[in-house]
Amino acid sequence: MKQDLLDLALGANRVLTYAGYVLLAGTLTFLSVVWPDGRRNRRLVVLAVAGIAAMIIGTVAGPAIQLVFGGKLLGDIVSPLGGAAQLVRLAALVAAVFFLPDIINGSVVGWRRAFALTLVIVIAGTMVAQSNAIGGHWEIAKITATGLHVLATCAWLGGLVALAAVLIPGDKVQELDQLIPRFSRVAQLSVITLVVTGTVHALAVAGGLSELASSRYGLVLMIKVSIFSLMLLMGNHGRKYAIRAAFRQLHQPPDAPARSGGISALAVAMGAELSIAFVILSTTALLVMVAPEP
Amino acid sequence: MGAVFVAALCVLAVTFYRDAPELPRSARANADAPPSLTSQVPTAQAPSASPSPTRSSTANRTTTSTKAKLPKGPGTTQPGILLMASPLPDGSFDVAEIVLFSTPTSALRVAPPRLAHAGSRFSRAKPVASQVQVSAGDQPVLVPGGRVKQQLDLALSAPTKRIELRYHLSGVTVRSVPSRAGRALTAISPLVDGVPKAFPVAMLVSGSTVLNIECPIVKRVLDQACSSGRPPNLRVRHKLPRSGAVIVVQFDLPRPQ
Repeated sequence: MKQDLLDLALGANRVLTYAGYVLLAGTLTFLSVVWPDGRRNRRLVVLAVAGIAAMIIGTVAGPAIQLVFGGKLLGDIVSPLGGAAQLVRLAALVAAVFFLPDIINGSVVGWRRAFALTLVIVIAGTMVAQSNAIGGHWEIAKITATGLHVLATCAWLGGLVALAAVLIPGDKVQELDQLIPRFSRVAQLSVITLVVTGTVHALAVAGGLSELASSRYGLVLMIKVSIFSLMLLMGNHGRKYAIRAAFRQLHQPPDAPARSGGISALAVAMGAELSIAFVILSTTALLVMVAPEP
Repeated sequence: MGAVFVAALCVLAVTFYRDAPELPRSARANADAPPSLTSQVPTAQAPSASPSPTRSSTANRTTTSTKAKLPKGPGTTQPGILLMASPLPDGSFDVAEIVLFSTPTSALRVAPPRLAHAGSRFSRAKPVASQVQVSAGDQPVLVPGGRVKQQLDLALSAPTKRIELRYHLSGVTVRSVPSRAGRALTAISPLVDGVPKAFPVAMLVSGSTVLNIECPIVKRVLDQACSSGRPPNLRVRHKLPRSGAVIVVQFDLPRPQ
């Protein structure tokens, strides 16, 4: 396979892995932190299962593509830490496959919450172990920043996908008035974490502000930040629509004519937001490719 | 059942982490990964020239030049080779090569420069690299006899991304005839081999007697004079692919003392 095609395949595989991570870890975080009784919602279970599948495929396909089409040897494509991290991730994903029914067998509190969050942290840890946070200067700062960044990503983006899956079909969700404020708090904390850790990580990886400003890595990062800002604006619109929708569900009389405009507008806003989220994941995959050597 | 699978994968992960350094690697593959296109400032410096009473002035000059900031690009901030050469009074060259791979390698292939692209003037040239010193990371690498007269595969003690070579390149200089007395031409090409054909190479030539650099691989005749900068520090304007990384240096030999 030509190098360009190989790079494209690996980039697409990286996006698949990130998307799987957001779906699985995000849904588990959403169930653990925002809506412990969301287990009754089948769409959330579907999201988690899709996330597991995408992550398993992404984890296995990465090395396989390079072995089969890149003509490389195993020692060339995986470092000891990176390979071990991939195997630990597979172990966590197998655990998710086998124990997901137990996790959603009751409210995700107590040991279920602890188990779900442990899975999220382990999977996030394996992502960090494979990232460019390992090695070079400021390693501890980079590992800490990347770890928090990865966790905040799943809490925010994954929570957003979960919220969209719950809200967009327009079903009556009794807990909506509690659910949205709870997710808003998680989202705000996540966004602050993303901004702080993203800045620290970028400066540590590039080696300083002037190096960051003059590099291709800095350029791609600037594009990502711009898209991120756009997503924040869309998220604010989505949040306002969701609050109005929740208010209507609570306060409109049962026999009042249904107003679907709010929910469909919300669907548009959230759909746009999720599309932007996908672009952000793709930009992140590109950032990995242009990141400076540690 | 699930717990057994999970435990087995965890054991496999530990085993892999312990045994991964023994996994088979290819020297070629290290350069295949996409380059990181950044402007990170290089922190490493080339070691000083090997001391030699007959070329102390050049050695001093080279040492001074290596203390300067290395240029960004292949060999420093991108995967590739940075080759730096300085002429010695006898017409041979003192050469440093810094190689940066995108992933760690545990083997390095070296071979005498192939000068086929340099033209018929060098058809009888028999390039020999002597006093070859190789560092992989911070570790020295044994080169049998310190000479490279034929292709050699060097095993590194530990996988590394950065390799540095220093050597004395001889058998590559011909006098320009007809031309001014003392004018000579030298063909230079990297010693590092076994990398992809497109592996980028940046080349610098320094020395007060250096006049010009020619890139025979460049198709347009007008662009074949490919140096930029001013003597004593000239560099090749283009990043050359490894398969065509041959330059012809025009310089003046000093009068015998």
